Amino acid sequence: MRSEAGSTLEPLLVLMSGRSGSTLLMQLLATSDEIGFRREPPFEVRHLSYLLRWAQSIGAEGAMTADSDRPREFFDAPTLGNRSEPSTFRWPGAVAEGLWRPAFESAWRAFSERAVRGPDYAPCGAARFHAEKASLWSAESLSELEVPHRRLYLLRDPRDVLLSIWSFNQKRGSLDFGVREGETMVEHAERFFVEMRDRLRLLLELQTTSDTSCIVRFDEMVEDLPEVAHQLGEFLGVRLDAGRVLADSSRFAGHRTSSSRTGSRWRSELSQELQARCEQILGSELEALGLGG
Amino acid sequence: MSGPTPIAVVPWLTGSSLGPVFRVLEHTGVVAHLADQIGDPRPLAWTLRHVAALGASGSSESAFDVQSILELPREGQPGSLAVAGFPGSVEEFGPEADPLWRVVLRELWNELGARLSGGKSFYAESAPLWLSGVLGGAGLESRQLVVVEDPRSIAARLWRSRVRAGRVPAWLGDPASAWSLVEQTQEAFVPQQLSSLVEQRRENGIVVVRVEDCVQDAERVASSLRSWLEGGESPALVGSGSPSVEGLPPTVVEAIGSLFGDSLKEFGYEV
Repeated sequence: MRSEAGSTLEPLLVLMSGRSGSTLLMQLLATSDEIGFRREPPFEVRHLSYLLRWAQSIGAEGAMTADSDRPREFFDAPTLGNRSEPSTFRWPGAVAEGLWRPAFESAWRAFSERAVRGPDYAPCGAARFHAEKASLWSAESLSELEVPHRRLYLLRDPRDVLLSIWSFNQKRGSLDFGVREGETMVEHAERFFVEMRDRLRLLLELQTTSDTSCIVRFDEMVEDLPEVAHQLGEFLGVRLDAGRVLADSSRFAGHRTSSSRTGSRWRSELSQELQARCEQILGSELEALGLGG
Repeated sequence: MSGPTPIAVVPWLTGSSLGPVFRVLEHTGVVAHLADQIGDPRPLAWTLRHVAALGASGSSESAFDVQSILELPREGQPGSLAVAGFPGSVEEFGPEADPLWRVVLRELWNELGARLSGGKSFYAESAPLWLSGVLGGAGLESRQLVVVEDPRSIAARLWRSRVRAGRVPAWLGDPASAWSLVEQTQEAFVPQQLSSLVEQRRENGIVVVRVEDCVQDAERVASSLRSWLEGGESPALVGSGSPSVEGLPPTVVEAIGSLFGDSLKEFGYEV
């Protein structure tokens, strides 16, 4: 929120976003001038996460040469994590304790003031939110710092997410989204479903406890984007234009792995073995979230 | 909150003994420092370097991993990680006169400096000569104190250290090889010639303090430094005493004296 005192942008975190419709959601958020982020598909320049991590690492130990007579060498970024180098910087006593809080606050305030003037960041200079595809670590860090923020949790059927991950990797020839070298889909699915169970349980808790968080369902985005835009707009107090996204959908064809973009792709594409395994691990959570089979 | 004014203590000759200088600064009663702590931590330098990462454009893509700010170990630095530059083009967020990193440095120093100073008005740290200019560019007022020491004393200290460690090559024990030692001395720990300091002192009014004065007349030096820090005139060099050259071959002492010549006289050293 651009508070009266400091003009800082309120972080708007898009969480649980791997192959869950985050790019589509960011497209929708981009239709509001009040929501800032780098308008560069697939919208993954993470200024907020960078500054959070930057602030945390300032309290770390590391190697440095402080007395260089060459400015370039001096300003070469500090190196962290190597205790064996001859000149290792260690903070004395408790000097650095909690230093990351003022470090982040200062950096975020300075970033906010400048970001709203960036033409690729926030058209019209009217941004009051900063949207970012983020990790739960970023969300927890903001909570620890007591920084007001909002969270958009994406919910897509884990079976469809699994299929989308494998289609995406096959299409790109990559090993992203936690798939390991030489791993089969069955092996990956075993870990993936267990990880998803914790995430789905988190969403179940949110359904009743949060007023600064919102669950955005992938199937609803696909089936009725204007309605999602309306509800999300109400939640954020901004105007979102689903029509602009739908008119522009051809731009993102390369990012999609399913031509239909409908939910429940798993019913026809996922093996019976994996369907059964998913039911064993995630059955009750899927049922509670309205994704039962 | 306003942080203390940083004092960049600049050793003009590498190998100078800074301990007596920091003790005198402490004696002024208005200066805090950490120089007597193990490892000589330099939090101002660390913070400055860390904040400088905000002024460098980095990769625009980063992973969800919390380590995403860290770049992979560099060649020759196994196991270390470097802080990556700001994601994307940093110019996008600060093309004006006051870029992101400078604003953050100012604000962070106010917080960090208050923690380091213990309520004192100044915080002193060993630093390179150009540091004050960078701090000034970020809008942070600072003081600069250049430290000189008789290079013959430095050479003798290095010599004694090597003798104690049993690391003196046989040829160095031969006074006939004195000039080699002089050359080695110059290359190894005298990167900035005294003559250039003479010029800068005359042209820019750089404030210089002698290690020898801090040892032999600490009260007087502390008094003049305090006066300078509170807005008075720059402290004058006391200029007393001979170099401590115990153990150094006389021919080497003479050769180093010749090498620095008039520059030594400029700072009150006998030639």
